[in-house]
Amino acid sequence: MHEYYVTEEIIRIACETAKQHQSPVINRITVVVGELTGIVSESVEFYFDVLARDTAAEGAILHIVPQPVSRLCRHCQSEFHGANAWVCPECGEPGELIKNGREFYVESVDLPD
Amino acid sequence: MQIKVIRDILEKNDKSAEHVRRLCRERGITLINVLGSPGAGKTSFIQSMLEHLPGKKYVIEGDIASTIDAEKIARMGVNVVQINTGGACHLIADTIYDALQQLTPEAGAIVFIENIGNLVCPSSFDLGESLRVLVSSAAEGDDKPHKYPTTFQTVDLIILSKCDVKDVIGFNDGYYRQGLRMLDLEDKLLEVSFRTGAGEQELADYLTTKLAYIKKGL
Ligand SMILES: Nc1nc2c(ncn2[C@@H]2O[C@H](COP(=O)(O)OP(=O)(O)OP(=O)(O)O)[C@@H](O)[C@H]2O)c(=O)[nH]1
Ligand SMILES: [Mg+2]
Ligand SMILES: [Zn+2]
Ligand SMILES: [Zn+2]
Repeated sequence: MHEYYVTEEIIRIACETAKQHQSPVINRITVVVGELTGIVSESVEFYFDVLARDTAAEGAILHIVPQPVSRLCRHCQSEFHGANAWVCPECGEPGELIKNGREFYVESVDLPD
Repeated sequence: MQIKVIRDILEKNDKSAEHVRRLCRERGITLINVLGSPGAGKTSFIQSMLEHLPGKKYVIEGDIASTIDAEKIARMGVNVVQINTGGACHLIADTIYDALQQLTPEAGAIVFIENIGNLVCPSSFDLGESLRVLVSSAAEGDDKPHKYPTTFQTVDLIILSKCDVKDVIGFNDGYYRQGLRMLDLEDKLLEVSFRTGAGEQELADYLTTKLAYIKKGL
C-alpha cells in the first residue's frame, strides 16, 4: 500500500494549517480513516515518525480514528455493518450502498494555546 | 487550541485529476484508465483495442520498472509514453498531466493509460479519466470480486480475460457472477479471450458505443 505517500500528505496538510495560524509547533493531528480505504494505521504511524522530522509536526501525536463500514439497504433502508457483509440481514437483498467506510481526511489539528 | 480542518488526504491528487479532466475536455480527448493485477491482460486489452477501435489512439504505460510494454505498443506504430514509478504502487494524476503534454494527442483521440499491475492501490487514485476499466483474468480465480470488492466497485467496465483457460483453472462462472451480483455489477461484465479472439469484436463495439455516449456527456 501507499502509506508513505499518504503520510506525506497528512503532514503537508497539518503543517499548512499550523502555518496559517502562525504556529511553529503541532501538538496533535486527528485523521479519520475508513475501513474500506485499506490503509494500515500502523504503517502510517511508522512513516509519520520518520517523515515528521524537522517539520512542525515533529513530536506531534498522530491520532487515527478508524471508521467502520456501514451500509444502507436500497430495498428496506435498514443499516448494517461489517466490511464483508454485502447482503442485507433483514431482507437478503444484494447490492447495498456504502454509507460509511470510505472516509479519508484530516479532521483537526491541535496547536499550543 | 483545536483547529477544525476536514481536508481530504488525497486532495492534491484530486485537484490534479481535475486539471487532467479539464485538459481532456478542452482538447476533446477520451482518457481510459486500465486497472488490473500483474499479468491480468492489461497490455493485451490495449493492443486489441488499438487494432479494433477506429480513430487516433495513444498510450501511457505505467510500470514500476522497464519499458517492455511501451516497446510492444511502439512496435504497433502507436505513440506511447512510458512512466516508471520506481516502486510506487499506483499512478498519480500529476504524471498523467505531464505525459499528456508530451503526447499532445490530436482532437478526438482516445488515450489509454495502463496502470501499475495491482488490484488494490490504483483504485484510490483518480487520474482524471472518463472511463475506468478493470481487466480481471479467469486465471486469477473466480473469487476476485469477493476478495477485492472495493476495486471492482470503482470501475465502469469489467473485462474477464483469458476465458479460454476457464476449464484448465476450474473457473466457476456462477461463483464469479455471484460476487458481481452482490456488488450490483453484473451488467458491467464482458467476457473475452485475447488468445482465441472470442469476444474481442463485441468488446470493441461495446466500447465504441460507450465512448460515443461519454462524448455526448451522457
Ligand atoms: N490464454 C490467454 N492468455 C492471455 C490472454 N490475455 C493475455 N494473455 C497472456 O497473459 C500474459 C500477460 O498478459 P499482459 O497483457 O502482458 O498482462 P498485463 O496485465 O499487461 O501484465 P503486466 O503489465 O505485467 O502487469 C501474456 O503472456 C499474454 O499473452 C487471454 O485472453 N488468454
Ligand atoms: Mg502490461
Ligand atoms: Zn499502494
Ligand atoms: Zn434490506
